[in-house]
Amino acid sequence: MQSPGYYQFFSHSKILSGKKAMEHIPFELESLNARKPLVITSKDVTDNKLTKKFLNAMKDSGMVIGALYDDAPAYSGSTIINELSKLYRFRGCDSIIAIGASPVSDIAKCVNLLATFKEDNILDFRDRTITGHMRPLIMIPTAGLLGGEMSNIADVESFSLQSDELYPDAVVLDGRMTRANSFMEVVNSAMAALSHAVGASALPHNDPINDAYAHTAIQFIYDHILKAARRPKNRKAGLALANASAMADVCFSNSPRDMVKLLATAMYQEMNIPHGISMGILLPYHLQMKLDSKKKVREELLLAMTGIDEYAQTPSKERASRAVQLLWKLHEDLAGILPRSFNSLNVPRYKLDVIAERAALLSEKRYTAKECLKLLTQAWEGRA
Amino acid sequence: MDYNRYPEIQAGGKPFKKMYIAIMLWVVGRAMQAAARTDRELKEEFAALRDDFLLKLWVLPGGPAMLVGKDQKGRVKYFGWKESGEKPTLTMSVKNIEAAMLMFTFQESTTIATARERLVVDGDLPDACAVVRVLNTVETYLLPKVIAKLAVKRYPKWSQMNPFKKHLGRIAVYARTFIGV
Repeated sequence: MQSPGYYQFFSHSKILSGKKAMEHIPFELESLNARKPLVITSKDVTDNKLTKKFLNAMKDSGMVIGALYDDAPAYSGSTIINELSKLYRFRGCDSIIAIGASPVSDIAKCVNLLATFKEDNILDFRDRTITGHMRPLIMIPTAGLLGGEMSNIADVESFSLQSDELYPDAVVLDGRMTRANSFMEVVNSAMAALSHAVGASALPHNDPINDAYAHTAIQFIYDHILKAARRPKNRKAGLALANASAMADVCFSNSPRDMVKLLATAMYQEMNIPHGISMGILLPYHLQMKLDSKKKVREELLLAMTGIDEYAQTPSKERASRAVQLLWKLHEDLAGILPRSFNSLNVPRYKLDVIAERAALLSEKRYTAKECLKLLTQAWEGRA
Repeated sequence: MDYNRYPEIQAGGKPFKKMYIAIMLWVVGRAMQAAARTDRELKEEFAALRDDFLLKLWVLPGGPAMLVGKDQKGRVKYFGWKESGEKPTLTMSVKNIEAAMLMFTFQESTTIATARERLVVDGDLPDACAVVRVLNTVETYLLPKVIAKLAVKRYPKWSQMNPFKKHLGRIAVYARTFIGV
């Protein structure tokens, strides 16, 4: 392994994963000097009886929950964030527990910001540098993660906040909470995690710690995605994919957003297609484009996907192309669940220019609209 | 926002699990006292500990608990579940009632529970290691092999504890545990 010239890596979150992980929450809060959390979640979490499982797990802890807000909407709007921060103060809470996927996590991070700095409007944090130690935040991911829940990024309305202070203090991965209801949920979150991990490990410079997280995430996904897609309620597979999402979010926080992520974000904003589905469609096309234009695709990707045996047996020059072949194979194995192209999702051709321009704008000049459009067009047409 | 729609929630209790753990801790505490008088190796383990040794094994945040230590004559004694003045020299706190249930229903051995950070140890590390060895031996006496194998790190081989010694010791430990000698 080559010694890196220079890199920076930071991950704040303690990860608790496995059997009875939720029961450790009161101890973790106590160690962070907190005793009265505000719990934020959404109606579908309550409807799936996950809130009840959480409350059962808190029994015998002596904990008082300041409020359990389970009406989080499907977007992280400033109004709801501002209102929740008032509820936090009204009840004298000293910490936040978020249960669910994005945007519950985004809302929780923003409420934490307002609570910590004792301010009233989240919009005042736009373009502001966030410094200072935040109040404790614990994240309990459920199925259907969209990517970024356990990262240092929070999306609010039309802008994003990014700071190392936004990491949750603890991420609790419990098999009781990560069982999916449908194969679409599984594929959406797995593809988002895979894209983040592959994107981070595909960077030309060597960041060994980010690579370690990315490769482990890729291994978890490859080992469990088909099992979970066939049987979404498989507890072990669901927990493994949640672990992969957590690790992929760490990678995502420590690397720039790549073209796949930017296009998926733009596609969601224009056409409301879930991030994970868009990233799942775009990822093999992106890597194939890199291979075809002789740009470097790191051969360690094959090691992460298949393990040491196949990696050692494959000649060095063929490892990158073999890794891309495996991505295409995964695409085929998920046929019927993951669409093959954007055309099959009825995305109109004329929209591609708009989406490409939006992605280029989000990239802050790292990518041109032309480059984005090239990838998007290939993903729209599909593979012959 | 109507704050009354989101009231405060007091976490409930788990009385039956708490009762089960309390009974198990009582049995294990008394069994440690009994086994220390029956098994030569346990006598030596305890002899190597400091004279004012007092172990508190309990479940956070509010019990149940077990106190075992040496009395003024140096004998191993079960001191009940409440502290009475003397500060424990070694405290092993199980983080929550479910972690205690995993340990005392033998789904996780003490060693695995420690590795999974279900316990917090406050005191000297050599003392803690000695206590884990003592617990392993006590569980070997108390439990049939099929269950003890789940509870201990390594079930003793024939050469380390032959069946004659094990079964005689088991009878003596059970008798002393329930009589309280």
